[in-house]
Amino acid sequence: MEPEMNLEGDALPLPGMGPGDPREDVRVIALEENILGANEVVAGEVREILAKKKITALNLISSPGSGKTTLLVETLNAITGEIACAVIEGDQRTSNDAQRIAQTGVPVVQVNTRQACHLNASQVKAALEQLPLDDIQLLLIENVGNLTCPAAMDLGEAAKVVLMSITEGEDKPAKYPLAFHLAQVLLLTKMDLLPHLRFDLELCRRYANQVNPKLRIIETSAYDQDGLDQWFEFLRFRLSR
Amino acid sequence: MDLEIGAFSGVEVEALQFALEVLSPGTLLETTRFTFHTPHLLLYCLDCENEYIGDPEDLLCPGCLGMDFEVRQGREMVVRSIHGT
Repeated sequence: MEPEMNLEGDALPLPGMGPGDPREDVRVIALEENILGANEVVAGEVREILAKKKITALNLISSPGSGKTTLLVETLNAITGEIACAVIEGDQRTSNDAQRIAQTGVPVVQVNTRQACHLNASQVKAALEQLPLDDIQLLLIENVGNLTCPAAMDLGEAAKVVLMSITEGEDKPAKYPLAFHLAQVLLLTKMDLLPHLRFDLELCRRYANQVNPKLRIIETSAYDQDGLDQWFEFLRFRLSR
Repeated sequence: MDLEIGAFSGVEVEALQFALEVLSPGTLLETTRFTFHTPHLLLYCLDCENEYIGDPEDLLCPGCLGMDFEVRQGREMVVRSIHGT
């Protein structure tokens, strides 16, 4: 099989087609069928369920090891008295993260995607059935650590949040533009390491703004609790909408 | 089969092509010829009303570097049509 492609974006015509060619009988069925449509239908169902229960869901996306779970644990420890939270944990394997979250006392469901590199809407919908939806205001969905595919998959969330630790290098927004383009907030994590790194904060901000000028950037350190107040402010703002 | 895979869809045409090649044999798609359309990332600046082709690494309007733009084309991952007898 030799698929035909033209990088300008135009289709190539069937070769050698002229009058009387049997291929003139070819029927064309116009579909315009969105390949991710099946996922988007389920994401819509998730959104409906969440709206009915007045739950705000955030989809947390980052590379592996950027500190999503640590930030979540610190967040839950600080705000569970004020905001009723629940967590869906996406990982290829293990329930380590769910165990860390469970220690905060917050309801958590671990979804193992096995070989898959991202969560999809069906997995989130199934996880919702295991959560006490009547008692939740804020659902935090920790996606599988990966900056590529999770960006393309709608989970029914109200907003995407992208995390990036400053050990990853300042050009992540330029290398993985879609995730940063779609996010409402960028949490820069591990800011306490800044004195030990050659990380150019201004350059990072510039890269991020080039793909998303409205991206809100919050500098955080979960260990020192720096910047977490601004993150909590964002959570309150989202909940009020 | 005509497929449309936008430059900002999150899907790499080469990878999809490879997957189809590997997975099609023995299925209904075995004899299907795939044509890939790859729409550019087309952006529209709401500040200066400029339509421009975006560089995925830098989406800002080259005219005014404005903050307000929208993606008009490039997010597609669509089966456009099927041709058959």
